[in-house]
Amino acid sequence: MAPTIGLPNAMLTGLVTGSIISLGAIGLALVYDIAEVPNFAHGDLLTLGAYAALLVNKPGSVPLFDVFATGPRAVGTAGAGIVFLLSTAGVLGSVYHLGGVRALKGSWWGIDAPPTVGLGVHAAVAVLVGALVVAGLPSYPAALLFAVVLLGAIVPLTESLVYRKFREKGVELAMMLVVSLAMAFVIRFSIQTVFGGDIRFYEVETTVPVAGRSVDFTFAKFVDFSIAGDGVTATVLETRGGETTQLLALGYGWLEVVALLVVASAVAVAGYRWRRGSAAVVGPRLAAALGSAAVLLIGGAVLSGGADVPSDPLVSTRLRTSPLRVGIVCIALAMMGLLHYLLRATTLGKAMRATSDNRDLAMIRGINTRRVMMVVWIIAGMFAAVAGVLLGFLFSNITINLGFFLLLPMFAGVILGGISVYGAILGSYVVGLAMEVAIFAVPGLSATYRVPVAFVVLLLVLLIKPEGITGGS
Amino acid sequence: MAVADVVISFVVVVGIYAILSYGLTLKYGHTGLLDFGHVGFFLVGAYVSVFFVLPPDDPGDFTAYVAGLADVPVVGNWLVGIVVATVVAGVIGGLVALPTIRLREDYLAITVLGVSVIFQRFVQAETWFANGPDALRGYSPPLKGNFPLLLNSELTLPVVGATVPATPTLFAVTAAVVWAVALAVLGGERDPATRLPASSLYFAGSFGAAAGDLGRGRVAAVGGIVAGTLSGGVLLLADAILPAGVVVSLFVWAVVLVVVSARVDRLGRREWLAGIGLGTGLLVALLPIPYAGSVAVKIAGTLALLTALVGGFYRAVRTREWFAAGKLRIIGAGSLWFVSVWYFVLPLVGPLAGGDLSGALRTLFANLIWALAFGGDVGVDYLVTGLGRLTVRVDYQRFLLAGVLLFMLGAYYLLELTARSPFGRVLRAVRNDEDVVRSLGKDPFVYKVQSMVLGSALGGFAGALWAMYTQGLTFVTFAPRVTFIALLIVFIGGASNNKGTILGAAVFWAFQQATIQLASFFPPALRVNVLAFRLAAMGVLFLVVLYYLPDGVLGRADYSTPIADGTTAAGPRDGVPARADGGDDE
Amino acid sequence: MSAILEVEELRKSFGGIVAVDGATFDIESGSITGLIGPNGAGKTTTFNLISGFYEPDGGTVRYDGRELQDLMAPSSDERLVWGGASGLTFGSLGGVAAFGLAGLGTAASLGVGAVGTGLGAGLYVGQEAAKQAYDGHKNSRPFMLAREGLARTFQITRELGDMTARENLMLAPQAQSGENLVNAWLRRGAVAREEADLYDRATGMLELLEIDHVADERAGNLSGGQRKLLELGRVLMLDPQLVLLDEPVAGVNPALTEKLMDRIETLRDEGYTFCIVEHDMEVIMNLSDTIVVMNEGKKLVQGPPEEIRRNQRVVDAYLGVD
Repeated sequence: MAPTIGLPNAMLTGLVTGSIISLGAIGLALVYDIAEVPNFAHGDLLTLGAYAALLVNKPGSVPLFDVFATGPRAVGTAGAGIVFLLSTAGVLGSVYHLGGVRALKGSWWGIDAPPTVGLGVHAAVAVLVGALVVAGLPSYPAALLFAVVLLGAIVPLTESLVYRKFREKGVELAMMLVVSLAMAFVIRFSIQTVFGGDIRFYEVETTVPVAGRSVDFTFAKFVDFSIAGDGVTATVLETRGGETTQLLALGYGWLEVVALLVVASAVAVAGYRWRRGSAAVVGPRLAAALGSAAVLLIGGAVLSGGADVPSDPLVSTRLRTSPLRVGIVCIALAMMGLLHYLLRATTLGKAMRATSDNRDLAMIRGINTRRVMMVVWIIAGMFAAVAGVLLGFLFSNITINLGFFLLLPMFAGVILGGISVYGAILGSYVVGLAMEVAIFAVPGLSATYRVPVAFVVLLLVLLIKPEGITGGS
Repeated sequence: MAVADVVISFVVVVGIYAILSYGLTLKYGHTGLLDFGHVGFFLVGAYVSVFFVLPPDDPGDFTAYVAGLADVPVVGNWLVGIVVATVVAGVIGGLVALPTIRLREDYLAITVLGVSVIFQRFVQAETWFANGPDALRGYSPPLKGNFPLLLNSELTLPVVGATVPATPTLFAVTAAVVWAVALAVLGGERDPATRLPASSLYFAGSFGAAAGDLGRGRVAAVGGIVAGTLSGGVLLLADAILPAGVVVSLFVWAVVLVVVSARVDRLGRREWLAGIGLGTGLLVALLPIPYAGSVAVKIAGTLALLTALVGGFYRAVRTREWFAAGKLRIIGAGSLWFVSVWYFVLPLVGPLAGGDLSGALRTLFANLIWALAFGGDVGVDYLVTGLGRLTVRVDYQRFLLAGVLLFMLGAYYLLELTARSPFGRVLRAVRNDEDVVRSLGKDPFVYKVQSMVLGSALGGFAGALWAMYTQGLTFVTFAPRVTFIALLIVFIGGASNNKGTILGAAVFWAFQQATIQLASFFPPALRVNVLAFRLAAMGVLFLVVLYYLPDGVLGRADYSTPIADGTTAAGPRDGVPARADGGDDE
Repeated sequence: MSAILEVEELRKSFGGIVAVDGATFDIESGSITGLIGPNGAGKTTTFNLISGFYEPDGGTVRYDGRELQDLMAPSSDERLVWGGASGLTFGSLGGVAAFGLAGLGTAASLGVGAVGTGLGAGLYVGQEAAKQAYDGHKNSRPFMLAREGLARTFQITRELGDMTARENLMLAPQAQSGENLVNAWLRRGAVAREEADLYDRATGMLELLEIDHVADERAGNLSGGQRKLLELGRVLMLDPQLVLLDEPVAGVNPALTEKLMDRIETLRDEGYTFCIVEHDMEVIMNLSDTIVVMNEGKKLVQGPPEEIRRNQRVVDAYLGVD
C-alpha cells in the first residue's frame, strides 16, 4: 500500500508557494522600502511578465503580433527581428533609466571608462541578449529571458512617468496607495485590451533526457519516505498510465543518518563561528546554512545504498512533487543569492541600503538616490517577470488575474517582514507555508481559502506586533 | 428601448453607487480612513437583505442557502431586509475597525482589503451559505408583481393589510418623489433677488408652499406630497395616465432648463462656444465606431480623432488663458451639449433617414415624456394627433428610480448633517492631525470607529439596494474592483465634497454607459477587449484627476456652517451666511 | 500656594539615549513656570512626558495630586466595553469559522466538534486581542489630561490646515453635545444654539489675539506667527487649569509678543497656571515666577528669575562647561 500524503507534503508545497511569493515580494519590499510606494500594481506586473513571455513562447496567440507568426509557435524573419529589437531595447532601456544617455556611456559603472567603451559594452550586451532570445525562440528559457529584459525597462517607466510625479508633489502615503491602485487598473486592463479574455498557456518541451531515459519534469513524482527498524528509505516513483515505475531508491541505516546529522550540525556551527562578526557576502548564518546543506547533499549521495522498500514501516509519508516545483524553489533561491550578492558586495548595493536607512542622509552623503530608486524599480520588474513566468507555467493557465491573486500574499509577506528585503523573503515563506499547511490541516478548508489564510496570518501578527515581525520601532 | 429608459436605469445605478461611495466619502473624505475593503460591506448588505426575501431553502433543488425568511410574517420583506442589512454591515464595520483602526494607514488599507477578500471567498467557497460560486436568485424586488401598472390592479399594503388601487398609489408615490427632488434642486438654484423664472417656477411647483417661511426640504416635501396626491386623485377618477405623466415630465424638464440656464449665465460666450466645439468634436471623434466598416478603421480612426481632440484641448489650455481658467466649465458645457444631442437628436436620425416622420416624432415624444414607458402589449392606449396610437405603461424602473433617488438624497442629507455638525468637525480634525485632537481632550479612536460604522452601514445599505436592483447575486460582483470604482467616484467630485460624490457617480456611469454602447458596434469577439480598454482608460482618468485635480472637480467644500434647512430656521447666529451650497463649482 | 504638578524622578530614554534622567521639580498653582536649558537638555521630552504624549520609563508625574498614568487609564466601564467589543469580534469570527466548518463536515459530530473548537479558539484569541488592543489603546490616552484641565501646545505648530481658523478654535471646548452623533442628527436646535455660543467665544478669542481678520481663512494659509497665536487660542478655548506652552512666542513679532505676555500674566492673575518652554531668555525672565533649568536630562536648579540669572551653574551649563 502506498503511503499517504501528509503534512510534509503540504510543507513542501508551501515552500514552492513561498518561493514564488518571495520572488514577487522582494520587488514589492524594495519599492515599498526605498521608493516608498506601497505598490498595489505589483501583482499586475507579474501578470505583465507572464503575458510578455507569450510573445516568444507562443507568438501565434498574441494579437497584433500574430501577423508576423508563421505558425502557432514560429515567427518569420520580421517577427524575429521585432523580438530582437524589443530585447535589445529592453536592455538598453534599463541602462537608460539609470541616468539617461550618460548612463549608456557608462557613467553608472563607478569607474572612469571612455564613453565609447561604455556604449560598446552596453550595445554588445544588448545584442547578445537579443541574439540569445532569438536563437532560443520559442523555448521557455528564451521566453523567460525576454520577459525579464522587457520588464526591466518597462517597470521603471511607471516610476518616472507616474510615481515620481506624485512624489514631487509631496503627496501623502495614502494618496500613493490610491495612485498605485489606479496604476494596477491601468496595467491589468491594458493587458486585457490587447489579449482579450482568453485563457493562455505556455507550451514547453517537458521531457528531458536524464541518465539515458526521458523524464517529464512536469509530471508528478512521488517521493516515499519510510522509517523502519533498520533505517530510513526514500524512493522516487513515477506513475504514468496506471503503471508505477521506481526511478530511484535510497536507503540509509540509522548509523548513517545519525552520522550525517552530526556532521551537518558540526559544519553549521563551525561555519557560524568562522564567519561570526563578518558582514561580508557570506555572513555567519548563510555560512552555516550552506555548509550543512552541502554536507547533507554530498553525504546523502555518497552514503546512499540501494534499498528495498520496507514492507512494514513504522512511519511513512509520501511527497507529491515534480522536478518543476523543485526547480522553482531552486530558481528562487538562485535569484535571492544574486540579489544578496548585489546588496552586500557592490557599491550599488551599499547605496541601496543607505538609501533604505535614511534617504535624506544618503543624498547628503552624495549618493544618487534617484539612480538607486531606478535600480530598485528595475530589479522589481525583473523579479516580477521571473515570478510571473514561473507562475504562468506552474498554473498552466495565464489569466488576467494571475498576479492579483498573489498580490495579497505578497503584501502579507512584506508586512510580516517589516518592509525589508530579507524580512520579505522570510515573511513570504511563512505566508506560503501557512497557506498550504492550513489548507491541508484544517478540515473543510477548501483551496479557495488560500489567500484568506495569508491574511489571517497577517492580521494576527499585526494585532500582536503592529510593526511586523522583524520591524523595530 | 427609448433613450429615456436607458437614462432611467442609468440614474438608478448612479444612485446606488453614490450611496455606496458615500460610505467612502465619510471614511476617507471626512475622516481620512483609507478603506480598501469597502466592497466587503457592500457584499454583507446585499446578502443579508436577500435572506429576508428568499423563500425557505428547498433541499431538493439545485440552489442552497442558509436562510430564507420570506414566509415569516412581519420579518420577511424588503423593508426589514434593508434595515437589518444596514445595521449588520455597520456592526461588522465596527468590529473590523476595533482591531485594525490603530494600524498605520497603509497597513490599514491592506488589512481591510484582506477582510473584504475573505468575505468574498467565504461566499464563493461555502455552498451552503449563499449557493457558493453560482448565482443566488429566486427573489424579486418589492412590489415588482404590480408592474407594469394596469388600471384595475390592486395592491395589498404589506403591514396594514388593506387593499388599495395599485395604479394611482404607485404612480402617486413615484410622482411625489420625482416632484419633490426636482423642487429641492430648484430650491438650491433659486435666488429671489434676481432670477424671476426660477422663483416663480419654484412658487408654482410648490403649490404656494414656497411663499411661507419653510425650509427648502419642507417646501420640497409639501410640493411633492401635493403633486403625488393630485396625480393619484386624477388616476382614481379617470385613466388619465398620459396627462399626468406629461405634467410630471414637463415640470422636471422645466426645472432642468432653469438650472442649466443658470449655469449658462455664468459662462461667457466664447467658453460656451468652446464647449459646443468640444462636445461636437467628441461626437465626430466617435463617428468611426458606428460607421466605419472595418475594425481597424474603427479603432484607428477614433483613437486618432480622440488624440487630436485631447491634444487640441491641452494646447488650448496651455496657450489661452481664458480657456485654462474655465476649462472645467468648458468641459461641462461640452458634456451638456453632447448629452443633449445624444438624447434628443441622435435617436431621430434613424427614423428620419428612413423617411418615417411620425416615427421620429414618436421617439422624440417618448424621450420627452420620460416619466412614462411607451409601447408593448400591456398598458393604456391613447390616440394622439400627429403621433398615432400610443400604448402607455408605468414600468418598474420608474418606480425604482423614485425609490433610489429618495435614498440617495437621504444619504446626501445625512452626510451634510454629519459633516456640518461638531461631530463632523472632529472627523475633519482627525483627518488633519490626530495628535491635535488628542491634545484637545478628544479620543480620535472613538470617532474613527464611529465613522467606520456609519460608512460601512451606508455600504451595506447600498448593497441591499443593489441586490434589489440586480435580482440575483454572485460573488464575482463583489471583487476589489468595486472599491476602486467607489474610490474613483469619491475622488472625481472631490474627496470631501458630498455633492461631488453624486457628480462622480454620474460621470463614472456615464462613461461606463457610453463605452458599453460603443462596444456594441464591435464584433462580439472583440467586445472583451473594448470593455477592458475602457477600464484601462478609467485608470488613466483616475490618475489625471489625482494629479491635476487633487481636490476633485467641485473642489473642497466648506462645512464650517451648519446645514441650511427649515428645521434650523432660527438660524445659527446673526450675520453669518449659512451656505447651502457647500461646493464651489466655479 | 500648592503645587499643581509634581514631577518626581522622571526618566525616559529612546533606544539607549537617555533624554530625561531623573528630573524632579514642581509647578506652583497660579504661577508661571519657565522651563529652560541648553539644547538637548530634555525640555521637550519632559514636556511630552508631563502632557502624557510619552510614557515615562520611570518616575511619576502628579497633576492635582493624582498620578498622570491613573488619570489616563481607562475607567472600569471603558475596560468592560473594550474587552467586550474585542472579545465579540474574535468570538464571532471564530463562530463564523466554526459554523463554516460545521456546514462542510460530513458527519454531524465533526461539525459539533468544530463549532466547539472554533468558539473556544475564538474566545481565547479574543481575550488576548482584547488585552493587546487595550494596552495599545492605553498608551495613547493623553486626551484624558485635557479633559482634566491640563492642556498643551506644540513646538512646531500643529494647526488643522484644512479647517478655518475659527473652526480650529471651535473644535477645542470639551463636552460639546454636537460631538455626539445622535445629538448632531436629532437635537439640532440645541446643537445649533451651542454652536452659536461657541462661534461667539471663538470670535472673541480671535479678536483677543488680534487675528480675527483671518477667522475664515484656512489655517494652513496663515503665517507662522498667526499659527502660534491660533494654537495658543485653541488651548485657551479648552479653559484649562494648567497650560503647557511649547515656545509660544517663537516667530511672533515683538509688539505682539509684548501683548501675549501681558495676556498670559492677566490669565495667571485670574488663576490659570502656565508652564512655558521658551528660548527667548528675555521673555522667560520677564514672564516667569519660577524657572526650572534643565541640563542633561536632570533639573539643574529651580528658583525665581533673579536667582537663576546669578547662578553660576546655569551659566556653565549654557556655556558647555562641566
